Amino acid sequence: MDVSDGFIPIVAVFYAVFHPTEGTKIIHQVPENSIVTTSHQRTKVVKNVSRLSMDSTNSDSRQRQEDEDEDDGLFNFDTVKNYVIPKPQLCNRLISFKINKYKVIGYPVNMENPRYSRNSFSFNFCFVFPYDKGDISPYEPAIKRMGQMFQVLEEQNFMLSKLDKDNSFFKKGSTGLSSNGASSDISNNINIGIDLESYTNATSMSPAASNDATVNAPGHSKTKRISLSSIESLVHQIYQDLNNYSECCIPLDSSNSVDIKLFPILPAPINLKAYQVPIATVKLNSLVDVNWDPTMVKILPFINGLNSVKRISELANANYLLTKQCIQHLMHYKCIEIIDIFQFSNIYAPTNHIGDFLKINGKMAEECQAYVVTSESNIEGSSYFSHTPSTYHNNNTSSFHGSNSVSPYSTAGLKYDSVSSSYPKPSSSYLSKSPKTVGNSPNISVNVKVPTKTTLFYLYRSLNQGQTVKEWYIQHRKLLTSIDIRRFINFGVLRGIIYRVHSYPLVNSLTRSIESGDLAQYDEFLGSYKEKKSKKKVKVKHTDESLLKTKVNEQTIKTDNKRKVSFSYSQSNLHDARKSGFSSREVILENDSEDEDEEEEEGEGHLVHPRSRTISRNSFASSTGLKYASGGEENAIEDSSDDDNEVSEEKEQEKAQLLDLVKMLKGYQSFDSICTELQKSRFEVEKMIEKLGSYNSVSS
Amino acid sequence: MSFNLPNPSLLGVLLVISTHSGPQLAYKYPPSLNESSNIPKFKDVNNWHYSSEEEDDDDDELYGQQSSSDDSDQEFTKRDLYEYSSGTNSAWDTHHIDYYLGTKLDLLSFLDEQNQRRSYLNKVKRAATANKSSTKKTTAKTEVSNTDNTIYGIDPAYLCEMLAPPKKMCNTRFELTIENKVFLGLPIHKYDDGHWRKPSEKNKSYHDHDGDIDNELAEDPKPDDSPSKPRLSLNMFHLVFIMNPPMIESNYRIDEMFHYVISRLSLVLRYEQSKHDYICDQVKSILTIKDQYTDEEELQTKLLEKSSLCKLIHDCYNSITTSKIANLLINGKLRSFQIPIKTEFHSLPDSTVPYIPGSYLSSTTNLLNNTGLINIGETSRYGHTFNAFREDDEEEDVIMYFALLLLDEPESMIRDIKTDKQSNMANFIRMVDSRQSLFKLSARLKLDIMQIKSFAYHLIYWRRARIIQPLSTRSVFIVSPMAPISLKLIDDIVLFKEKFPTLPSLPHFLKLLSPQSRKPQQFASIIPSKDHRESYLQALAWLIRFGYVTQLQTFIWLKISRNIKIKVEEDLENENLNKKKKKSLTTSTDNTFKPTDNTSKRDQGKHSLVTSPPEQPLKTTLPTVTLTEEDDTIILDPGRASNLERKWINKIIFEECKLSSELTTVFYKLLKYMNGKSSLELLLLKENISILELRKLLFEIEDYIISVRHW
Repeated sequence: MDVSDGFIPIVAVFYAVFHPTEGTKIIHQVPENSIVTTSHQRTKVVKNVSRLSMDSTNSDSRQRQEDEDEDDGLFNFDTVKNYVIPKPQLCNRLISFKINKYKVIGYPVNMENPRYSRNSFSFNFCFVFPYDKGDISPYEPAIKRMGQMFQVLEEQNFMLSKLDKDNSFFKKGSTGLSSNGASSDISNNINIGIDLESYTNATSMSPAASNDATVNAPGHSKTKRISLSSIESLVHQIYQDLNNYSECCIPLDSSNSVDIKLFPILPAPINLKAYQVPIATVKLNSLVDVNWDPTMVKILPFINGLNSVKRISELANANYLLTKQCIQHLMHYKCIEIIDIFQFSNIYAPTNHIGDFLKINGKMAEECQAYVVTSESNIEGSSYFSHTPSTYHNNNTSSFHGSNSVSPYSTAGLKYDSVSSSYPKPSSSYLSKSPKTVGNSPNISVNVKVPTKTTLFYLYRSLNQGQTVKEWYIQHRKLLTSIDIRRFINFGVLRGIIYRVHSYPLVNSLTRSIESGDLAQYDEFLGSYKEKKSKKKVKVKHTDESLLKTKVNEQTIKTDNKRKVSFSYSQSNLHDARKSGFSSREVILENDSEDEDEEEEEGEGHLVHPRSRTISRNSFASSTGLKYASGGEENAIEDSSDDDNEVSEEKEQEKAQLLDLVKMLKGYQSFDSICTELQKSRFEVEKMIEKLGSYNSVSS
Repeated sequence: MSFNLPNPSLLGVLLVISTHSGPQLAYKYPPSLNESSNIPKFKDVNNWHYSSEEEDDDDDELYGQQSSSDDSDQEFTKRDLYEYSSGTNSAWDTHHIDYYLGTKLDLLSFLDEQNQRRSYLNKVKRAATANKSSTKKTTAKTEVSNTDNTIYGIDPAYLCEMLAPPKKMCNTRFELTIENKVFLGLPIHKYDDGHWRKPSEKNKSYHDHDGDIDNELAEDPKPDDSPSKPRLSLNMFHLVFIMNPPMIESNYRIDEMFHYVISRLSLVLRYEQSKHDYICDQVKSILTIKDQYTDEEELQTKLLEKSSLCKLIHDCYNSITTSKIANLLINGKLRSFQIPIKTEFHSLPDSTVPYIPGSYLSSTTNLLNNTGLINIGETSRYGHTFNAFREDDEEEDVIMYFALLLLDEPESMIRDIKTDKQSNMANFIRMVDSRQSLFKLSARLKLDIMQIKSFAYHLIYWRRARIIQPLSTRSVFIVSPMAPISLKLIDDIVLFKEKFPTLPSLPHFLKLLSPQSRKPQQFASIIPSKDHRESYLQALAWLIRFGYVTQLQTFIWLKISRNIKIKVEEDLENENLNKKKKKSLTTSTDNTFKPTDNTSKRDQGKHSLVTSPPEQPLKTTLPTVTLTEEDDTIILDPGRASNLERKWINKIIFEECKLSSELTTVFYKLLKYMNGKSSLELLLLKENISILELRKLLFEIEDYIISVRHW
């Protein structure tokens, strides 16, 4: 399939009608004589004469075209007559067919009216394309619309039928389509009539046409003067404009025009998953206008290559499903790409494309150098920081790297590389272009060493299926100075030279019950197990929660400034916040899984959505707190003096979470997916799973 | 785009004939072709994978029957309502593209549904095994009852006129689109001389179809003029496939259908017609049957019973719509047709590209890329991005170094392909061992290499085997990034248990293959004892077959360190300065990987990056940026090394590592493979080098090698 926006050019356009006496025939075609008709030889001389009246530019191009097709044309019209104007029952739909090496598309219109000489009039604007050159679907809706428009115009004004100089489409003498109309027509159009007309000014409309209009449609004549003077000029212009500009805008009269613009058709986006992370490839902010969907505008600041779809919806306080839709739209228009949540517990490994890093004249490697380089100070300051929501707006160039790297580093850095050969001091631009770096770095005289390409390659290749980023970092720490690890990984993932290895928890007890073929039993077993377990665990769990509530506010303020690279899982910030709202759901779900009454469970599952929407506001507050996972434990004891209500709520809620967890385990979801859904760190999730028994962690 | 997923988009098949009395619709399948009948498309649903997956087949089939028939069933109607209201019904149909595009819902509701679906299927399965036959009957009934004569709202008479094109449009590809329905076919028209095939150069008149069919048919060009029966004056017959491909994939799906099914089938029919007057006879019998039976339902069953042409159209439709192989009995001869499915990938598809769960990921796929035997999956959303390199000219024979992995049990396979149990083919299938290369196999079977190859190709093309590197405990395996864990593990756990009751469970096995805190290890490291070796290897084959596991291969480059370069530089300077300059300028074929422009670098003896900004000016500004001196060079294609590169290489082997003469020969044997494209595993198979030698060599030149492991 073609990737470019280039459309397959039109080979020819023709206008055909069903003539009352001569049958289906082509009235006009562009380029001329491209389609062979039986009358072709006879008319050729006349047409050559008429062509002389054309302005020179057009006739030139035509001449060329004609010379090529002179002998055979594209195909013989007689063969396809019945497809151009099919039986009336098949008309008024988009019809295309293959003939020789061409595909002809048209929208044959059949209209009935007692005034027509056969009580009906049929016409078709057909477009000819090469058959196997590619996708012509962008034209289809336009052609259909055009056919429908002329159908209406014909209905109102006989716009097409009256253009015939012999007036042969109308019954003789019927409805006052007088012979003088026809005769004046003839007198005006001797020999070169129509061609000449097409290039005269629209105001000097042929009297015949105006006559017809008055005569045929008395009601409309005063208010609406259809000035379509020539189909030929229309067809010709459509052909020219669409091939040259992919659009056309041809006025027919004061209120009607043929407006066509071709749009490439892109594949429908697939449904994203909650844990996937969108990363912008264009400056999304610059695209916003007033007509944008409010949800889209709302979520935009949070698309920063760090937040997962789910988290974006929480941060923006937007419904998850809507957020997902919005992001899918962005993906559809290639504004974003999808990466994974960056964590130091992730595993990455090289793909078969890793060799590309060395190829293409080292271009990828250069871009990588430019993109990943950082000074030590930057690790704390701008590089990790500049893409958090708070600074996102300040930094105009921060919509970051996709395939056309546009981040402050890469643009500046690229310049540094490419321009360097001709200018001795381009390096200054590096710094001037990234004010953040300058401003934020406390230590002014840091010497940033750009890692060599060989080093970068070595680092990429040393990633493997068995090592987490953390382990890998420790092993290669020396080489990783002045490399921003997150950017290093993202670059590799986006360029397809490394891939994320997902890990899946597979619980042994689940495996056993599947093997014994009784999943239902497993549910029951778990149900009872959970009852017991959750009672025991309430205390611990609860303390975490209350801590969260009390500390949220001050943490929100702090974290923005102090955000660091830490080896704790970056998801740990997503503490659970589904609170009170879930108690009712939980009860029902519990019952259901025990009863195996699926209908009800299903229904409930749906009802829950609106509720979770309101809850997301809570999670917004809590999600900014970054360091609870580590700091929480000690303080926990102090806060454990809540009232009974609270306790039971916590308990219910934990049960709900466990249920969710079990569901996801049964669905064999990856850790990323589970963590995102439960809004817990991997560490916490692992603990939860351990409660259910031993499990295997599989990296895939 | 979802080109990786099968999407035949086939709505129905029409047989249009043209006699002296004009065009006529002889047969159509399915009996009712209108918009309403196709919306819940659960009819005859089967799994399109492999026949081995009977389990799945059953599920789907039974569910399908249930859903299309049991309207009285309270539960179903309720479900149905729910599904339509939430618009997710298609998301559960394994033949619908939505199934692969991920859920529209949030994860938890999706899982709820999935769970519920599963237990529902189980219930149905249990219930339905009892009264299987009865459900089948009701299905047929409902199918026929809503028969409406029009074809998508078009009177068949008018449509037939359009589908019986003028002679000039015959004997070539025919395509007619009416709104979103594509009518695709290869109308076969009698030639003026009354023959169905051009007496002489008939092969040349066809451009649209594969040559091989015609060749195959060309053996006997003379029509059999013996039939004594009265002839029907048949002028043309046209097997029309009605399709509704998604707009964006339209061309692709239509081409696929035409190329793989329509053209081939139509030409076979033409052959039968010209030799045995097959179509004429069949049409006559169809018309008689149509006269005899007026009841629509009875008519349909009789047609299928009595007319082999109707039967084959019926079979063809049912197999192709479910993306299975259509094994059709055409005038008593078995012919197979399929639209190949894409289950082989050489690189990992983007996370936004859907693919068939259980697809295989391996760069060995490239070997078959040009053979046309397999369809390689797309890896990006917007079409082809990766052009596989052509390995060598000898690639045809490379396949012999590989082993076949059967995708089904040998005996059932022999049964399926209906070959004689004692035939070479059957023996071959029984002997196939995923641990032995085809070369070894040919030696064991004493069969010609060509024959072995053709057997192998046959099995690969017909989805019964795939090419893998011979399994060995020394190879390194990982859980494939494309492993269908979320989608299929729950079913496969059971299958695995049935197959290998004594081995650890499937999840445990996968865990063994996902190393924790260390690099992936040889397969041998997870085998507990020698006694387990056999069964573990079998399990491994199973895991590869179901797409869970893929092999890691090692790819190496030569790395020239700075020291070497300086030494070579000095040598050269000692020789002749002027001469050197000339040489290096002319030999700058750019196949090395260098930090900067090659020529300038070579001219600059110092290796400081002259073309990049000097360090001085940087220091005036705040954090100084330095391009660290590029000290190493990686040679991309040592097979076509430049003079300078050769000098480097020589320096390494003769002076730095001081390789022994044996190792030097090994080194030169391997040199051209040190390009990061050919895996060591493969060249061990290809070049006659022992592992020991290779190890020795790699150990010796360790410092000058950079290696990568991927599939």
